[in-house]
Amino acid sequence: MLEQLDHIMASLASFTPEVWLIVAFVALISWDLITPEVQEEGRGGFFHFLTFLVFAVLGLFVYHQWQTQSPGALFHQMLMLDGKALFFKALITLSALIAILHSWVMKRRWSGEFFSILIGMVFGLFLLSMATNLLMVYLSLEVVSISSYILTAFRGDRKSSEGGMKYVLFGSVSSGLMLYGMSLLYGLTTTLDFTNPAFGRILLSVDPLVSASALILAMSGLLFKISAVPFQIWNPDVYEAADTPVVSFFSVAPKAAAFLVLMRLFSVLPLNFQPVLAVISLVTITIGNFSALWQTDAKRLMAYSSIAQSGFVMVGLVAFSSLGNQTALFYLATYLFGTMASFVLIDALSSSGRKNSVPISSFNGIGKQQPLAAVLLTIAFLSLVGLPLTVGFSAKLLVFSSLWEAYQQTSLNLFLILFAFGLLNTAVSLAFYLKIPFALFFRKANDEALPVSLPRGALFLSLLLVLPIILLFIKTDWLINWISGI
Amino acid sequence: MNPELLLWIILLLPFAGFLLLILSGRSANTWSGWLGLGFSLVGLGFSFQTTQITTIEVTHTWISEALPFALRADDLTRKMLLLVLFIASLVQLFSLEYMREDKNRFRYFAFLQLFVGSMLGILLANNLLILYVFWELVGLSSYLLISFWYTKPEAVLAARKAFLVNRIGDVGLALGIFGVYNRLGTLDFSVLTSPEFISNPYWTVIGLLLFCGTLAKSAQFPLHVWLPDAMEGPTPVSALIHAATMVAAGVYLLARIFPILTPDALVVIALIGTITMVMGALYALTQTDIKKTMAYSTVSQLGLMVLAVGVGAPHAAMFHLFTHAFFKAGLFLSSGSVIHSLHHAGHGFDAQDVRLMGGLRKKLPVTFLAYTVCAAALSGLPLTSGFLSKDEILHEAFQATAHSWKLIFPIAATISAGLTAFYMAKQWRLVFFGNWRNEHIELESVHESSWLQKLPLVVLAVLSLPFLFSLNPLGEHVDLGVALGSTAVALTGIVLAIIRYKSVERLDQLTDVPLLTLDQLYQTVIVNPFLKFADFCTWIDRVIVDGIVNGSAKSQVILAHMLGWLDRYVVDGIPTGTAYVVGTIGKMTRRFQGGQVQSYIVVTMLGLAALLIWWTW
Repeated sequence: MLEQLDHIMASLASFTPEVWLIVAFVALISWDLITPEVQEEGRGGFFHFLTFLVFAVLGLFVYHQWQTQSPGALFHQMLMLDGKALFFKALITLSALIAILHSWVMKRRWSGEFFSILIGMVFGLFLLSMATNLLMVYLSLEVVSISSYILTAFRGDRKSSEGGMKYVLFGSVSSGLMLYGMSLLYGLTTTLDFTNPAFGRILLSVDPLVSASALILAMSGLLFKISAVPFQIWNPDVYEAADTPVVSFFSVAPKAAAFLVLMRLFSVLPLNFQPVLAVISLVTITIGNFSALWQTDAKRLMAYSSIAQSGFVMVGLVAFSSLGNQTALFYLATYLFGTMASFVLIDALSSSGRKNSVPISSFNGIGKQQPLAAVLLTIAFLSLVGLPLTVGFSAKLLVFSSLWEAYQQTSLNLFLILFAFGLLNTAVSLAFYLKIPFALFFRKANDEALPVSLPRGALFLSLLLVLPIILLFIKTDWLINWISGI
Repeated sequence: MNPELLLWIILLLPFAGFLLLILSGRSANTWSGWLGLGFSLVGLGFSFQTTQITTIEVTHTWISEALPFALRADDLTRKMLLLVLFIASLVQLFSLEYMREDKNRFRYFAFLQLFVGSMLGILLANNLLILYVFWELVGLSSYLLISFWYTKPEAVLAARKAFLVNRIGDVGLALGIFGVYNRLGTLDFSVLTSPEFISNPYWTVIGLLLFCGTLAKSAQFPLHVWLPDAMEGPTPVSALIHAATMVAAGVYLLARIFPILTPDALVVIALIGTITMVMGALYALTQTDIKKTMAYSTVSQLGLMVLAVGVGAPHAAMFHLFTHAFFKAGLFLSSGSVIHSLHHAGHGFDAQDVRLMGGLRKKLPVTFLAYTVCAAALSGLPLTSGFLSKDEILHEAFQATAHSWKLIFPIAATISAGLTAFYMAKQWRLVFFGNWRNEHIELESVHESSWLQKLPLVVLAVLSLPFLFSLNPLGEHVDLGVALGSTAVALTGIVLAIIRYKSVERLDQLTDVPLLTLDQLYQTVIVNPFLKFADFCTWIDRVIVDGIVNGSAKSQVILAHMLGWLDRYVVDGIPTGTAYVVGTIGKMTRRFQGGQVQSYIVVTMLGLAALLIWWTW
């Protein structure tokens, strides 16, 4: 009994960022309850500042852990604190910082709970990025999901509520499926800790039909989070329903954490699982890109784009090698800049205000009014396409070269198809990503459109986000060295 | 100082001066001359330092191992460095006064620096490629300086002529260099000394091709036509470039490549030199322009040097190059002084026409003295430097050609020495003696200019005396026969000239019959047929080529229409079809997005089921 307590106490020492998040969560919600809201439409700059501070301090905690922590299991193999977990914590913190800055510079107002829930979601994500136990995965995923549901529906108008409701229903189904799969896995292996060597060994020995069914079902919740086929359908509705800073956060942080869990899970799976992932990746890329072609709404377009981008990250996982994982990490890290910069600029440049839908036609001719911002947005999009001079190119090059290596080792024809299809899709994606830059620069401005006033902060923030896109293309080795050191 | 650094400084200093001046623009006008003079004097000082050291070599890998950037300063180079920098300094000193009123002085001095740098490059080059590079730069700076007064059409035409004629020679030089590289795989001068080249037709051709460079640069027949026209440039430029240094570069080149010149090539070279020498002297006889006389005289003297190389005495040629540089520069600067004085006395007449001069010795005493000494040197009278070098050449030539038909070379040289003495005495007489023949201005208004101008004259006149070259004023080893003979010939020329022009006191007595120059010949033989050919080409171009082009254009348009049809209905069909297919796929994938959450879930379930079935199949 005492030993157990000692262990928990020791583990708590490595749990400081999470403890800080809990404290901040409670403090912020209490503050909101105690102090009266001054304005009708909600809390503004000050709460943004507080939340920013919370995340900034969180970043310091993560940095401190990075400096001092040696990899190790916490709380009886429930959690695993290693380099990868810290890398993803850093990514999540960074995206949370950017999201809150985005909301701040665009002068959004929220009721106080918004900020606490955002902190709660980050807490869930932190747990998820450390989870090595199926139960822990499920629990943290639920924390993340429930926070997401609330944030999606937060504005409370009709569109928002509808999107939130769809999200809840769809999310519950997938988490039900996941729970089902997990219970099957537990039944087969008699352990919830999937890093346990027995876990993989037993899965190899049972009938493939059984193990595959259980695994695919158990993966459902994760596939749902990364919006991979066949769990991608919710994406556009939610992106449209939620407010842009929230969407920006959704497009990176939950995805990243779920990818990490998938990565951990795959590292113990039998090799013959590769084709499943290849097919999922292939179909995800294709559906994402081809559906995006017809979009007339910028946020829905970004939703499909984020589906396709998930497919590209999966290409890195398909390789089933440490190199493949590293390239996936690289892809995710750089994707953060491209996509979040795009969201900031879409939000700032669109003349349609803060409605749910942002028609692409609302960008017509704005490139002449706001040349710098328009160019920045174009660069961000080019990075998402993966054209050279942007880090998106390096990322795509890396994942596809890891795939090529995997193909040469296994000579699996499916990989070749994935390779060819992936490249083809990159070309297709050019067509829809350039829609908005085309509208910005070549379409004539709508007559009734008001001149866009771009907040200086938004411009600054997007400049800050676009800079690494170019810089990391030139100095790709910085990030690669960091990642390969994990 | 580090010898390599020394060479680099000597070479780069003028280029630095050039950049400094040309970039400073008009604001440099006031100090440009002094700066140029200073740079040249510093260079001169450094060049004196090189004489303390034995042969210096600098080699940097440049194009390849076989074609390095190599500089070398041996005995000959060092002497030439001193010569060029010394005369350049004097000329710039002279120019300070001469160009005082020009608005573009900075450009003038900048170009002079460019010229000096390029010339030093030729001297310092240790392989033919480097030499060729600087050779071209020299041509460029010569072009720039001839056309310095570019508002004068004659100057522009003269510059263009000089440039084009030099191109012809340079093409030959380039071909020769290629030929050397082809056979030896290197262009290094040190390799050009081995004796295996003798009597090989290949090397005869190469030698003559390289000689083409000399033909143009040193104004040898038949490419001499540019030099008289080049006198359109400022007179100090003529003194420096077109008398003392650049035109001598051809002779220098011959001295450098002398070891690979075969006996056959040497005969051709001697022949060309002889023709040039005699022809130049004949032309000089009839000139009435003070500078044109000098120009033809230079042509003639260069012919003599080339002849000396041709009979196998390159050291005698180089010796004459040195002595000639001093007294010819002195003569040019004296002429410049005369022109400058007349120019200042009044306008409205040709200040270079000797028919409009006379009796100037009292008005321009220093100029007169300098001119007299230098002219005596050019005529080859004893107790002058010209005597030493000319006799050396004659002596060598008579020795080398004794008992063969080649004896005509030294005999022709002796005759042309007489002619030289004749035309120099004629000019001396017409400019400085007799009555003042100019009706536009009074003789009284003519006066000499400041010591800035007179100092270089005096220096050059002193250096035209033999003491710099030999302790014995009659030479170290006098060939009595030759010395007496040549002196006699020169004196005869002088006496004849004085008798001929003694009674000439009026203008109309001085109109000589102009000789047919090669310019007319070139006009009828080359230029006119060339223009006819150009007309013919125009006709071909207009009627035949344009016809073909128009015809093909028409057929292209027809073809384009056909292709356009094909493109629209067949080729475009493919992308349109592809786009349609892609779009349809998109619509299909989007159709799942009905908006109803129950259908979402159904689709997801079906997808999951499909995945499982595919996987476990």
